[in-house]
Amino acid sequence: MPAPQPTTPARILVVDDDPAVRFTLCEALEDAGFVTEAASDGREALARCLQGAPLDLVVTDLVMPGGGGLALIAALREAAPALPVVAITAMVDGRHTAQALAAGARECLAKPFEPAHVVRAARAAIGG
Amino acid sequence: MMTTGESVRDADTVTPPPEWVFRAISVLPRVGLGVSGALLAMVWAGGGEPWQLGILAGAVVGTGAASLRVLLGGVPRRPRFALAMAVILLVQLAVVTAAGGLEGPAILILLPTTLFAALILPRRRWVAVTALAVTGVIALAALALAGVSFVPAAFDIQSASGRPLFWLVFAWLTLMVVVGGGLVGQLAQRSVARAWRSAALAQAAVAEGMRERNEHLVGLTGSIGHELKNPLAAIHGLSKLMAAQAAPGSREAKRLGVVVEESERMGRILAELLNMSRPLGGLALAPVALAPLLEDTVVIHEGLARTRAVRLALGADDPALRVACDARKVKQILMNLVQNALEASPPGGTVTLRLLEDADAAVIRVDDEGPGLPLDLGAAVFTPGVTTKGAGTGLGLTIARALAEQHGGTLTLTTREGGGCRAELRLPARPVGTESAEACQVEVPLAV
Repeated sequence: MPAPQPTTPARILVVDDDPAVRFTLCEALEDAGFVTEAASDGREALARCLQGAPLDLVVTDLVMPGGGGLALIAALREAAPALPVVAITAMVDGRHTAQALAAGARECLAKPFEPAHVVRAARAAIGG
Repeated sequence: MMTTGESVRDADTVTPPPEWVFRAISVLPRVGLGVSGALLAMVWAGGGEPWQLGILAGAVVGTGAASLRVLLGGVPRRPRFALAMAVILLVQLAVVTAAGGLEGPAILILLPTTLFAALILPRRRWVAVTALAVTGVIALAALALAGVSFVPAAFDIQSASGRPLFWLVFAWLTLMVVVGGGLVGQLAQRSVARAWRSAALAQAAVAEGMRERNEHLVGLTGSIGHELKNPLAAIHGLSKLMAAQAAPGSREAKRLGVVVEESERMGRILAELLNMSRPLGGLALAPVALAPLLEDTVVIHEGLARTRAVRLALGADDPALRVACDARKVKQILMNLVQNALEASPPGGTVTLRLLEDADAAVIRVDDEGPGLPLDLGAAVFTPGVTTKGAGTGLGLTIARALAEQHGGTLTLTTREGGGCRAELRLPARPVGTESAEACQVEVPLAV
């Protein structure tokens, strides 16, 4: 995985089954200068990660019909260990957060999220 | 006093009589036939008066007809009980009279009928039937007092032949009344027990239904709360992005500012709602020094206190006091109480936190100098949705109390003498209620 060049904007894959949330995440990240792509479940996201233009970050929801985020994080850890993941969840009990971090996510944000927090998490994950 | 129409309504309005009533009724005519037949034979053999023989013969015919009716056609399913009781009583009074009135041996036969009437008739009709029996007995007593004697020779205790027969019949009827009354009592008792059992079962079913419904509603609240998070995330995120790009001070910026603020408010309401509908997480019990917890709470609220010009005071009987509790949850309770107190305080007021030690509990008091509790609110302050704040969700105290009770403790709110509100949290030295730790394992998988 090549390090992001300062001249070429980092490419982020946004994964969420909710189109409005997907759109919002993409908009927030694009406003911050990133290039985004979208997938609506874990399976689709994994397929995209394994082929096509190299990605710099995956931002994924955790609970989705048709391939959840936890499975995606675990699969990426095997297939693309250098690709960082930021998780976003609507669950508040902390268990999902803990599971996501244990599976290898760099950070886990809560819904409803602040766009600024998403951007900060993305920068931190790509930079680190 | 008793018209046919009323009797019909009687059978209509009173709940259907239990089965034992019908069983008893099906036996009564035959018992009556046996008694009146035996009395007729005895009075006839002893040379009774014609009117006495006539009455007893009439009773035999009447009870015989009733017996046949029951044997052939069964007991009518909607009998006119009051009317039937009245007729039976009249026949019995006539039989008693024919057998010598109060001087004769038959007076006891009135007892089963009046007892039966008391068991199955509604109050007004029972009073009427009883009045009939009382009137009859008083009339017979009046005749006896007036010296009118009409006891048949067969039952005359003055005569050598009448005396044994009188006692024989008297003993026989007494035995019948005692045994029959006992049977009726047992039947009634069994039906009462059955009624109790079915009532208890019905009540348990209703309670179970309500519990399930409540659980369902709580679960539904949680699901809806989760489902709302995605649309809210989109609204909040996009309005935030638009607000960031709007020219500062423009009308657009102001409008978007309101959208952002309101979506944030929705987020807070949603968070509290989910907090409430979520089963309480298990307690992570550990010995916790309470004084530092209070200090933390004070420090966190110093900013809010300053902006409201309210002083925060802290005192502890024993600064080293420790109890076994979940520090995170106790802090959540304290945050809620202190925030409420600050919001209720007038400028220049003081909010006082005090840590006391009781016999078997640690007590934390949060006193404010606000208006106190509205009198009409009372214990309702702990009900979800009840709030005195303009923008409150009314869930804070509900959750705080639930957390306190999870520790086996209590949370009470009272108005202090001289005004102001006192919130008192009591945490037992040995907390109970850790079973809710299992409740938090239950989770509804949601596609969010």
